Amino acid sequence: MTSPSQILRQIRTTADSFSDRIRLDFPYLKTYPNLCYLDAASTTQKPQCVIDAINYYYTTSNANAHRGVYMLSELSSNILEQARENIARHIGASPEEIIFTRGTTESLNIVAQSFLRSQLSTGDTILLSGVEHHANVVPWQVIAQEKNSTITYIPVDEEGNLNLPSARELINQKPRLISLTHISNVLGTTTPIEEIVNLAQKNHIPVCIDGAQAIGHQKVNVRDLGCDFYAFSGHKAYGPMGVGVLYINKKWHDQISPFLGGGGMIEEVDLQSSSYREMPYRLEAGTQSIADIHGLKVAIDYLNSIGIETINSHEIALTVYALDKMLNIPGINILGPLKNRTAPIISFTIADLHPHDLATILDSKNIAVRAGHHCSQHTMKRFSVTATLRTSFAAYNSHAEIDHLIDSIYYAKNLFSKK
Amino acid sequence: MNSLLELYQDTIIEHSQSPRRSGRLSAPTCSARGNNPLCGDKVDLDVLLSNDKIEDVRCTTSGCAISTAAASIMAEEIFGKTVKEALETVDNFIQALKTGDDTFKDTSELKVFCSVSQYPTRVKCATLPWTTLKKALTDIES
Repeated sequence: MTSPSQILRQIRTTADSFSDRIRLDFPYLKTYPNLCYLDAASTTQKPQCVIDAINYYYTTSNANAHRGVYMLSELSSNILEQARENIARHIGASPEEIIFTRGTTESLNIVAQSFLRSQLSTGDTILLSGVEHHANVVPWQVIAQEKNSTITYIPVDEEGNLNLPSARELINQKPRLISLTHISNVLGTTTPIEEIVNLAQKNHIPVCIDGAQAIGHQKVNVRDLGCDFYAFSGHKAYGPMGVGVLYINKKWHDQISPFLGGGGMIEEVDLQSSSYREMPYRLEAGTQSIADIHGLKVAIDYLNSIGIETINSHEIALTVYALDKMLNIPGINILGPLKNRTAPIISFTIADLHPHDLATILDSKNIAVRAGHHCSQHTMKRFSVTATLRTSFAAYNSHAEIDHLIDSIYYAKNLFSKK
Repeated sequence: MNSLLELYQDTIIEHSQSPRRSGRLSAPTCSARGNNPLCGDKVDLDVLLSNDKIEDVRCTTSGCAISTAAASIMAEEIFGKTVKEALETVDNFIQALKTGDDTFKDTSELKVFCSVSQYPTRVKCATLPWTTLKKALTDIES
């Protein structure tokens, strides 16, 4: 019979042969062979194919898209539209529902400014959750203040899960829009989007999802989720920085006003006013960062070539392994659930060792982790902490890196033991 | 000594674990709050002046070891100084940390912060109590 420790060893061997293979694709490990980069939730490292894609675009296809009649411009337009098509297919949308933005933050600001702002009036509410990233709080505050509206928050329980009875009650009060994170960037908890959408649809309330932490780690299908808007960044899914996506369900397209005015988004410009193009171009003023958009397409292709489910199982195995080791550390306080993790994010504090000091000590041991409030001060307040240390994993991370993390936490504790 | 051990030398850890002059004053001459929005560190500072001299000072810090120790050692350092002397020390300290010069190398407890300048992301932690003090004292002067 196989013993539990033999099974664990087997899981580890399989996982390590997976990450060993993946690590060959990531040139940051050639530059820093000993670096344990455990900050995927901030940004993932980039595989060589994505870096090459940017180079390829500027070497072979650089011209402004949708502007020239010459061959190179057509090539560039094709690259742009091919990326739109592939990304649409990847998340179960139609190409015209995909708007290229600079990232999740810009995408959410577009929903606030170009969709909700004109519909919002005095006394209206916007519904968020208590664990949102500032990018899914501040854009709504900007328009709520202007329109004398208020923001309400769905509370979360001790493990960080949405309180569904409260959600039901708040949704029945008919907010003008619900905007929720898909996965909390602090706790790694997953929002039960289908259930929320179900309640929202009964009340005809549009639902917007901040998918920044989901897109690189699990299969996302906007039709299955049933949401109206879905925002994400490329750089958290192995793609370049400065490019992101906003999915807008077709049914809202005639209610979208321009975000930025300029070239590429107009039909006709008169002296006093202009008419605007159809979606998605109405929201894409100016020259797009086509090289980065192409890089994002290649990143998504890369994800699919490995298989996002395979990546997810690897990351969850690492998360379970890390949690198990962390629980033995005296004075540790782990935020979020201890079991049934669905995302590779762990936030924690250690008694008498401030996260910033711990992060500096870990840095001296070649470990890159994030310390601070993670752009979510609401979450910090909810769990009565001012800052946490956050470790987050991607396909290239290994069990050995987690062992090194745990050893280094003990080293830091020892350094700080009472003088 | 490696630079990490220099950063977290015993004096800094000891001050962070038992900060001096912590708490609040019931009737301060001036007060200020310092915030580091990027990391959430907070300092509340109360100063009691008598004839332009710092007669008492209290700091309450919520933050990392570097900012807590900086507040503790600062409070001891400026105690008994005139406002002018204290403000000079503030400027010298901030300047030393930003440029990495060794103004404090052989003088006073402040020398334990010399190595912070090698950690640019942590300079703000060490200077937070000092910029807060400057805010409090400048308010009085104006």
